[in-house]
Amino acid sequence: MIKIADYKKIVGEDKIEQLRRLASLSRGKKVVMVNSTKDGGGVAEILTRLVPLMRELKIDCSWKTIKGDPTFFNITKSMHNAMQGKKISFSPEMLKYYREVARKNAEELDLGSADIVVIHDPQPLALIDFYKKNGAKWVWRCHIDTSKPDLSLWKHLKKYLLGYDASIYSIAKFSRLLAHPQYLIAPSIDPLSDKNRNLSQKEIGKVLSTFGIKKDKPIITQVSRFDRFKDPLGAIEAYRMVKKEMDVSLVLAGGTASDDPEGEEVLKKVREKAEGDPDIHILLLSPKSDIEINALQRASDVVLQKSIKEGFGLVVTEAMWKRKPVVGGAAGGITIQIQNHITGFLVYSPEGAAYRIRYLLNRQKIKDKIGEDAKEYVRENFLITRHLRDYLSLFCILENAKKNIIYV
Amino acid sequence: MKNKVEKFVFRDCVVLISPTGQRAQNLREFLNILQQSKEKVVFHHLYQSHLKYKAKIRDYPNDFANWAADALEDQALAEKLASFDPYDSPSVLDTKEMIVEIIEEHLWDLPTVPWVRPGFEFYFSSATTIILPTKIEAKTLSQFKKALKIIPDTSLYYHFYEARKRHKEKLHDDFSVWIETNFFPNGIVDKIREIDFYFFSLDEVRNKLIGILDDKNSRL
Repeated sequence: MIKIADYKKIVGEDKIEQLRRLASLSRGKKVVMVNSTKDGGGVAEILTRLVPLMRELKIDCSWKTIKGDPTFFNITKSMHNAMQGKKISFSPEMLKYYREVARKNAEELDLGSADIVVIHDPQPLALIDFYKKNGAKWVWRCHIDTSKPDLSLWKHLKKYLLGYDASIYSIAKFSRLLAHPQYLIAPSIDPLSDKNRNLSQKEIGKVLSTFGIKKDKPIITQVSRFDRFKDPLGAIEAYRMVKKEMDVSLVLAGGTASDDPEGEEVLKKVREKAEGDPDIHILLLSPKSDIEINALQRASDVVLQKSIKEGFGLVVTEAMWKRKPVVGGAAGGITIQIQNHITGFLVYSPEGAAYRIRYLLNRQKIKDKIGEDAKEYVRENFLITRHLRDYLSLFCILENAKKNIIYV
Repeated sequence: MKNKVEKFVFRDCVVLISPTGQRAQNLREFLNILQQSKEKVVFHHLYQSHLKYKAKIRDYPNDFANWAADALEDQALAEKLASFDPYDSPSVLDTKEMIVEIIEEHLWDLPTVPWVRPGFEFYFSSATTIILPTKIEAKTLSQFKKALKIIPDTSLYYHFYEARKRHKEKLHDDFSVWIETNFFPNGIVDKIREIDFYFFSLDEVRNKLIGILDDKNSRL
């Protein structure tokens, strides 16, 4: 079991002391995190690590998930897409079904006694309509790119949002004009998790051998769900352009999440596009493949994240932490992680991705320097200790509404 | 040294940013929103930038100048927005008026209103600051120097930058005020106050302070 003190050697003792002091301000508070799945996806991954750390700091934090059938998750997947800008029409029946599932979940979830309820993403957003707040603070934590949501869905969901005391976004671009306070909390990675801890060359070699990947040529890797917004087809196009000039291989490693019914369809298209090329490795990984992902990222020469829409892009953070130069689509949170020429490269097309991959593969010293700077940038801004600090700060701020400066 | 030395208790701060939800896609919109912006919004973008940027990541010391350079690609405006010291004025709103004037004059001379590419809009934010005690204290200058090496960047920011907005009349940092109050001034205070801090990163300021206290010509 990882303890808070284990992070001292990574972030320094002062940061850990700061966490203890902040936590003491909310000691004993009952905090409930609610999302839609415990398996797969960035939200579940963050909560798996964050909740035990809060508990160690004496915050009474628990994590609950809502239940839904495939119809519900098809609706919420469409909502997810529409909140990220896709034009989708929602019938009154769909919206009624969405609310009805929330009502049923509210009967089973015990949220009434919480001091602070943090609702993650649109799936459980409607729960608030079925509780009396009794002084509790309700916060909506949005992990997705809501910079230009589908207007009719936004208007509908905003009715629920108005009941919340605050909302949290990963970057400022995702915030909207709302009556309640909004806060920025970037997500994070855990440097001590199996996905990010140091691995030996033997461990890395074993994973490569399991997947039949040879290290006889530079490896370009994209790790992400098979989701059209992650643009795996664009990644293959970029690889093909690089391949004309240099012998490289491409690894597309994708997980699935139980709340993402679209994945199969995208995966089929990717397989069709890659057919006949032995240097493209399409790996369908289970949610428990953390060490495999870690090894694939560490074995890579360049990491690609060719997203066209992105919430934050934690796979970018993971790769940067491993000193890998990342070529990332200029979307969502990738733009605050990658500073061109310093911590990686932002690109706008498959052509741009191909150009930057070639640029990096031909300049070893620059590639190494970008990798080093990327790691330090993550240490400063995107580790779980910073994430924990922001949540603890938020809990304190919710108790001191309207103050700009809080003296403790 | 004076008879009774008051110990220096280092404090730390944590900042949580709050976007207002307002965004500017061009310089005219930026000016309009800035004119209506509250003091806490201007304060965040102008003063708390030091907490966000490491020197190598950004060219300029505040959010406004960096946006002008990176998003509007207007280096002349960026230079104008970076070349004043907001700590010269005790009033954030006075500083805001000065910035508004700079932008109005700049816009006046431009043939068209400059726009940003999609994705490079300016997002206005404020922030809430929580001030926390730390266990770090100093009673002598020697202890003080040791402490400077280990305090977090956020503590350095609180005592060396944000302090100037608290000591409204003098605009001084906490460190030099403590040394001046508790020890016979011997040049250290002046040297600390001469640091051109607004243009330095927190790492650079920390090294400068330690350098001053290390200086053999400064009697400890």
